[in-house]
Amino acid sequence: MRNLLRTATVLLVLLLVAACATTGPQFEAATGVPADRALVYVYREAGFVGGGVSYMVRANDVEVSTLPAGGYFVYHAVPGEIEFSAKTEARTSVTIDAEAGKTYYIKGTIGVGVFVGHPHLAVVPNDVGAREIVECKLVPGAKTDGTVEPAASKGPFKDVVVGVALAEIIELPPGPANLPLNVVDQRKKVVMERSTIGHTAMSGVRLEPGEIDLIRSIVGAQMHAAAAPLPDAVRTVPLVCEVAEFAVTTPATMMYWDATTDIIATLRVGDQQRTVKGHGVQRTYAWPTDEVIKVAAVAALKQFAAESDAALREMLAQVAR
Amino acid sequence: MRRFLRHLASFTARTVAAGMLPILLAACSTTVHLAPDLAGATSTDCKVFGHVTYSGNSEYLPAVLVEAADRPADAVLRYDHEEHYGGSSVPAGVQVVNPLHLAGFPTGENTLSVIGRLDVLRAGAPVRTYIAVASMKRSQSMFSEGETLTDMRRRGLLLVRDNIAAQVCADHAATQAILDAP
Repeated sequence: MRNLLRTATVLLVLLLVAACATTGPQFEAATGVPADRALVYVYREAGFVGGGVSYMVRANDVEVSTLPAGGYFVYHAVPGEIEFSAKTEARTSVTIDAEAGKTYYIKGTIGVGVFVGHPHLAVVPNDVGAREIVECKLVPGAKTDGTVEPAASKGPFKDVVVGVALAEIIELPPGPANLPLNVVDQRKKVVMERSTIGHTAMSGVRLEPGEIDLIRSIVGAQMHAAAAPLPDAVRTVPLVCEVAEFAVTTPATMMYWDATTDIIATLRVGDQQRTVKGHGVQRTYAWPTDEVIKVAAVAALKQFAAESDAALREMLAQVAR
Repeated sequence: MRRFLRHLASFTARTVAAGMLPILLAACSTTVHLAPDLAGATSTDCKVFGHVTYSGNSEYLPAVLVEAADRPADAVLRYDHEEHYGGSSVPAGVQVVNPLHLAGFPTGENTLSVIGRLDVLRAGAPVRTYIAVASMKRSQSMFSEGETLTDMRRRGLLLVRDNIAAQVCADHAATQAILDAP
């Protein structure tokens, strides 16, 4: 019995030490932050109770790093709203509106839960954060760069490149539009892949030109057409297009593949706002080639173009009143 | 005597249960106070035209503020908001051993103040200012975390947006006159 207790104690101590050993060098102020990014420190003070529980911190649903007790990591945030979240048996989240050049501190703590501790994330004032973080150690392997993850090349096959000609989708304007249009890529995750049964990745998919450039060209051309008959004052009102989703996938069954493209974007001009979508599917019983994927992509872009054209005309007419 | 004691025990248990219930129910809820209280003047069916300056999420911009290129160049509607977080929690060591926390009593609380501010500027100087403040507080227990700070922030930003819009509409003619003055 005594041996059993001794073994259990040693194991417990090893477990606690192992939890502490996950952190690296002592805190040092971050350097080399890109000028167009905000600097976010996420930290958690050391503590005995709940000290063995670490949790994964996500930024806009993308995994960044685990956060053990006494650890910290650095995140270079793209300006805009970013939700930092963590989950064990309960979920916590806090959102900051990051501004380039500014510094933010997010403090993690742990509270009592039924089976496992509840994570808590909260924004703290910079003077508090700067004072408390000095005792923490860097968590190795954090994903510091806050850029939207590009579609990674996956699977055993080479990436498929799908060329899309704009003339197939819209009537191109005779000259440059020169209108105030800002297209923002707000996708939390970029999904551009060719997969087979069981969502097994076969290869990545790349559109040529890129999907955001395609959206910019389509909306720009339509804005040009919609604003043409309106007064000059309306033509100077900026239009924002926030792309929430642009995904190309090829879900498969035993019999066929459905090459699929989904687009969701929000258009904002003045006090007007509309959500527009595009969806295209092309079924193949042989193999999802670039041609098959292209048919689905063009269909989705055409639907997106039709919806955004109607939305823009309606919104600009409202703004002109 | 035994009967009396049984009644006393039953009464005590009921009283304690009745007293605990509101505390337990309040443990996970969020309380919200919005200022100023507009007391019915909540119409947002108006528009003021000027040059809108705002750098945040457009969802939180009062829709009554409309960008109008034909207004004087110095007629500016500058909207901004900020959030202040606070809170406290029972030390984790106490949470573990205190039986009241095991019964669902609050283990901590978070406060959030969202402040929305609209400045009506002429020649770079504020001529009129509208401010709205949403003060929120939530508690958490061992069984529930309640609303997330993300959701509280969003709720607060929408409340101050609408409150500012209502203030502007209640004062619409005067505000637009300031913006339109040559």
